[in-house]
Amino acid sequence: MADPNIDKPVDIKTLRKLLQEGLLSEEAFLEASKIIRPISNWFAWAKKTLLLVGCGLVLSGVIFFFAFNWAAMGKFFKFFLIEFGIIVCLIFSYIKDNKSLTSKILLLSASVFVGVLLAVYGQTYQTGADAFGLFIGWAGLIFGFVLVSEFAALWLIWLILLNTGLILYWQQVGQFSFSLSYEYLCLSLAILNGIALTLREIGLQKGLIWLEGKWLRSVLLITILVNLSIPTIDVIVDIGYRQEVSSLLSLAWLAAIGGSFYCYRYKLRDMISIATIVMNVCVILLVFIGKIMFSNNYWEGGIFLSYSIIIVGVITGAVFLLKFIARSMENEEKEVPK
Amino acid sequence: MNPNQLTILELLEHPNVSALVPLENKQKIIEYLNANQQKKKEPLYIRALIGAGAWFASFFLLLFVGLCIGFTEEKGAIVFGLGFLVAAVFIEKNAKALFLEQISLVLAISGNILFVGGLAVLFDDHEILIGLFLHIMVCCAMYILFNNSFYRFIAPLGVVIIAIVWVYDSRTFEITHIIVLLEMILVGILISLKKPSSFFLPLTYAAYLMFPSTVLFISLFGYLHIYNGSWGNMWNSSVFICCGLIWLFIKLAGGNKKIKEPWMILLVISTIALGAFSTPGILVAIGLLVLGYAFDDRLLTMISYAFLITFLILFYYSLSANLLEKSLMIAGSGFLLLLVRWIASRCEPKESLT
Repeated sequence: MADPNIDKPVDIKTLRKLLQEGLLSEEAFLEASKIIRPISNWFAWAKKTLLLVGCGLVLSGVIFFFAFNWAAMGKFFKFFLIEFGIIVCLIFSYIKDNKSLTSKILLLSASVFVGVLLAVYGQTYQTGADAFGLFIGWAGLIFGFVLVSEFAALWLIWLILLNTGLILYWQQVGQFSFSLSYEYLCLSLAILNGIALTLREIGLQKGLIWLEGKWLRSVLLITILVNLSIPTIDVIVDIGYRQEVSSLLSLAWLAAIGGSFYCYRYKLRDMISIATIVMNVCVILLVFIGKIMFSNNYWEGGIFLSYSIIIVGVITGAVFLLKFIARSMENEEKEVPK
Repeated sequence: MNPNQLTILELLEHPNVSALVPLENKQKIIEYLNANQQKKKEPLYIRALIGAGAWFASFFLLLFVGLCIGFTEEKGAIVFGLGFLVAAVFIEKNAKALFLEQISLVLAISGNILFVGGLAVLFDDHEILIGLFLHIMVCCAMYILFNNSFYRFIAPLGVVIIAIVWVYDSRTFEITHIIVLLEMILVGILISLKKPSSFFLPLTYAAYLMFPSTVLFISLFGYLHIYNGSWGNMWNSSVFICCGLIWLFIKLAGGNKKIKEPWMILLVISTIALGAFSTPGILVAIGLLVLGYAFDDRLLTMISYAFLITFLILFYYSLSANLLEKSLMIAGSGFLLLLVRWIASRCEPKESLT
C-alpha cells in the first residue's frame, strides 16, 4: 500500500518542518520553496487579495455615498445611478468567464446594489412597509443571480438575508399580531438553515465543486444547533413561563443531534462537524448537571469543587469519544479497497 | 509538470534541489515523513475543547477557593495559588491519563490567577504593575516547566492584557508604543528562528494575536478620546511597524538581492504610503496576512482578515470628515487598490509568466 505522506503533493509546511529538523539546508529550502511556490503564486495571491479588498472598499464607498446624499439628489438620479451600477456589474460579470473570481464578485456587487435600490425606494416613497419586507424582497430579487453565480459566499449572503427577514418578521408581526413566542422563531430558523445544509450536502454529492468549502457546512450546522439549543436550555433551566413548543424543540434538538451525528460519522465523514455536535452536547449536558447541582439554592464550596471536576470529566469523555471516532474512521478508510 | 502537485520524492529529484540535498538526507527525509505520519498532532478542535473546558472549570475552582478562605483573604490566595501551580507541574510530569492532564491545566490556570492576584493585592498603590511583573515571572517559569500548549498560549496573552490594563489605569499611553515595538520584535524573532520547535509554537500564535490586539486597543483609546487621540500620536507605532513590514517582505523574497526588483520597489513604496496615510493596525493586519500565506497557515490568515476588516472600519469611522468625504475616500481607496493590482500585473517578472 502506498505511503500517503510520500504520495501527497508537498507543501510549504512540510518543507519548513524539514528545515527545522535539519534535513534540508536553508539553501535547499529556498530552492524547493521557489519550485513549489514560484513568484507567480505570490502575484496571483496578491492580486486576488487586492481585488477582494478593493471591491469591498469601492462597494462600501458607494453605499456611504448614497447614505449621505438622500436629500440632495433627485429621486430619478438616485435610481438611475444604482440601476446603472447593477447593469454595469452584470454586463462585466457576463463578459468575464463566470468561473473567475472577478465575475463572481461582480455578481455579488450587483446583489448588494439591489439592496441599496430597495432601501432608496422605501425611503423615497415612504411605503410604510415593515423592514422584514425589504430583506425578503431583496432575497427574492437576487435569487436569480445567486443561482447562476456558483459562489458559496453569495449563497451565504442570500441565507443571511432570509434569516434576517425571518427574525424581523417575528419581531414586527409574529410577536405582536399572533403572539408567537421566540421558540417558533428558533424552530423556523433551524428548519430554514437545515434545508440549506441538506441541499448543500446533496449538491456536493452531485458534483457541485463550488460548494466544497467546509466553512459553509460549519456555519450552517452551528446556526441550526444554536437555534435548537436555546429553547432546550430554557427547558432545562426552566426560567419563567414555558411554552409547550419548547419541549417539542428539545425533541427536535435530540433528533438533529442524532441525525447529523449519523450523517457526518457514517456518510460524509467530517470530524469538524462531529466535534461541533459533541461540543454542543457537552454544553447541554453541563447545563443539565448544573441545574441539578445548584437547584437547591444552598451553595457551599463543595458544590463548586464537584462541578469543576465534573466539567473536566465531561470534557475528558468528549475528547476520548472524538479520538475514538477519528481512529475508527481512519481504520475504516484503510480497509476500503482501492 | 504542475509544481503545486509535486510529491516530496519528485521535488528531491528536481535538478535545482537534488544537488543541494545529500543522498543520506533524502532517505532520512522519507523516514522522518513516515514517522511523522504515525504521530499526528492533536487537532485544533480538541485543543480548543480542552482549553474552553479548563477555563470554565477553573472559574468554579476559584469560587470554591473563595468560599473556603474568603474572597478578600490575600495570604490564603497566595498559598493556594502556589500550591496549585506546584501540583499542576507535578501532575503534568507524572500523569499519563487525559483526565489528570486536564486537572493539571485547571490547577495551572487557577493557581496563576490566585498567586499573582493574591500577591499583587498586598501592594496597595501599584498592584497592577506588580501583578504584571509577577505574572511575567510566573509565565516564564511555567512556560518552561509546564508542558501544555493551551497554557503556553494563554499565559503570554495574559501579560499583554495586564499591561494594557495598567496603561489605561495609570494613563501612561506613550508606553503602548514600546509594547508594540517589543511585540513586533518578538514576532520577528519567532519567525526567524532557524530551528523553531513545538516549544515555541504556542508563544508564536500568542504573539500573532497579541500584536494586532494591542494596536487595536491603542486605536480604541484614541477613538474613545481616552487620551488625546489624534492620529499624530500613532506615528511612532506606524514607523516601527512600517520598518518591520519592509524587513519581512525582503526576508520572504529571499534577501537584499531582491530589493532592486520593480515589484519590490512598488511594495516598499506602497508600504510607506500606507504607513503615512493609514493606521498601524492596517499595516499589522497586512503583515500577518502575508505571514499566513508564506507559512500556509489558514488560522493565521483568518485572524488577519478579521483584524484587517476591523481596522479598516475603525479607520474610516474615526476620520474627521463628513459622510460624503468618507464615502469618496473609501471608494477612492478601493480604486487605488485596484490600480495597484493593475500595476502589479505589469510589474510581474517575465519568468513567472512563462
